[in-house]
Amino acid sequence: VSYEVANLSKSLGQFASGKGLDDLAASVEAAKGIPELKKFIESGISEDVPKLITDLTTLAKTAASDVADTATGLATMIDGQESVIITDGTLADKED
Amino acid sequence: MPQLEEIFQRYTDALSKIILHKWAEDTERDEHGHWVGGGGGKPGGSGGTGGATTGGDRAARAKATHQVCDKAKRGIASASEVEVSKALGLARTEDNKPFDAKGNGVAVELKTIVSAKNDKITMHPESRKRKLAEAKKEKLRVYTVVVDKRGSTPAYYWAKGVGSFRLGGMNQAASLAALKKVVK
Repeated sequence: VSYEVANLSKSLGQFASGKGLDDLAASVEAAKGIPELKKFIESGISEDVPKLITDLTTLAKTAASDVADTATGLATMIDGQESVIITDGTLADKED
Repeated sequence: MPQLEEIFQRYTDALSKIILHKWAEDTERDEHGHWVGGGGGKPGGSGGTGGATTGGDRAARAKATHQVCDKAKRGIASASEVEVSKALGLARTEDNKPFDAKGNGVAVELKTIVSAKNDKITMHPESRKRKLAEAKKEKLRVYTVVVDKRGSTPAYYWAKGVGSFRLGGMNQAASLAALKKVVK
């Protein structure tokens, strides 16, 4: 599963492979002091993007290089958004 | 001349549909990556972040559009990805690599449908470009595999290429063993 991050209406692009997000989630669970990122990984939704970016930046400073790359890339993609969600490219409702 | 008026109305309606229709990069494609069906774009559809909304509204709107991947759904998808990668003899990729699994000249985009009502998977246009660029650079044979876990037993679908697909337009494999015979 290639995971994408989306705002209210559209995908902003892929930020992690399936294993990439598994690795990020494992690092987040092991870390402390990054509550918005923990919430985002748990629920798939963040409505406080500035805090989320701060947490991603914090994690990137101590995480393994692959995870740090994923965190940094995600922080760049969501900059300026109000709300973001994790999605896998499957759609919520019938379109037609 | 009511008949003439009716014909003119039909013509203008059809023309409007053509003009408003968007053949977007992320519309449904066949196994060759060509656009199929009526296209997926909606007039005035995607883009922007909408008007002023409260936090709860924003979350609800996002959920209405996308399948939100919480921890539980990701767990199911990860288990599915591990199972399929192993069955196909491919390694899962790390970080933000374009494909989910690779090996032996094959690259696979894996999707697991856990609870979506829709029988369609989509892909961001830039993501698709990245995948195709890597496939071209590394001369990879590219497949999309979908595991539908909404029933009592998983159903496996596959197609050549990457992009947006409807399950009805993909090939179904009876088992993981059968999938391995075609995704190679």
